[in-house]
Amino acid sequence: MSEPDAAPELAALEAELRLLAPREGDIDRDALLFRAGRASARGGWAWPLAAGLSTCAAVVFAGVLTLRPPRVVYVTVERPAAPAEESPPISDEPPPAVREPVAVEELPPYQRLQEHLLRWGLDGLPAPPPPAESRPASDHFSHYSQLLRGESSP
Amino acid sequence: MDPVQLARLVDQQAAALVLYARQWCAAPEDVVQEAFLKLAAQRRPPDRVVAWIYRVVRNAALSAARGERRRRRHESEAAARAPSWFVSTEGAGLDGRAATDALAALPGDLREPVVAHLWGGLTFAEVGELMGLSASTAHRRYLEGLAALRERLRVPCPNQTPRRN
Repeated sequence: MSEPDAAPELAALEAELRLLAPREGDIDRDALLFRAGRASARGGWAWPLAAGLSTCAAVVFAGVLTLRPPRVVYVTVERPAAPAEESPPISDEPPPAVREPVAVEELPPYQRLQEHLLRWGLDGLPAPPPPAESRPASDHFSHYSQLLRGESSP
Repeated sequence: MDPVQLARLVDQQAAALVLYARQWCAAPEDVVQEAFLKLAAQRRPPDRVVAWIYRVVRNAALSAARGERRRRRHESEAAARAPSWFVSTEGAGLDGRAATDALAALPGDLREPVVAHLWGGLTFAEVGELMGLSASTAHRRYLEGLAALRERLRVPCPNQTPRRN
């Protein structure tokens, strides 16, 4: 579309006015282009939004993990049925103790002492030794040594 | 926007935009710089860059003018102290100061199409779009503005024949 011409009587004035150059003012061209470059390099909102959302999700998940009580899951496991012929009959009586009798003299010394204690208790231990003037001094170690050797106490 | 295109636009339009914004506000340079920054921040440059930036400058200048009116009581006195809107160039037959005074004295609806078309290079359709007018109305106001300027500058009409006594 062509522009309409100015009236002929105004064309001269129009030409005169076109010759006047507008004053630029205080615009610093280099500073303006520098700021324009910075303005054009500014990122959009997508990355800050994504970072904010992921941060919020992390905070929410951390709170849930911290505040929620531990969840215990009970799993019912079917016990496999044992073969009928091999299972002994269940009774309330305790099974009889099966123990082969062993002669005390055949046992090693420490088991002999153990058997003695189990059978007679602490009361079965020999009497304490007499006072020091009547008998030589002895300690528990020598006394037990006598027991282990099979010697009877006086 | 391509930096080379932006630099070319600054070179071509910065002064005219300052003149255009000067109609309304006292700090037109700030308005023009902000408009260029806004243009640089656009992801996709507008189709008609020049018309777009004139619209941005117009809106910002009008907004700044509203703020200035609140602060300033004697606008006419401040306008009288303002420097010339034009720089003196060789070959210009008109005085810059006189042109400034004549232009400043024009009503705004006549001054705006003159500035936008003469120094901004906008078409009358673009001027009309800026002002919310049709292209023909913008052209008519442009002619009225030129006529008023001629009266104020006392430029003789070339078709006018001198009277003989």
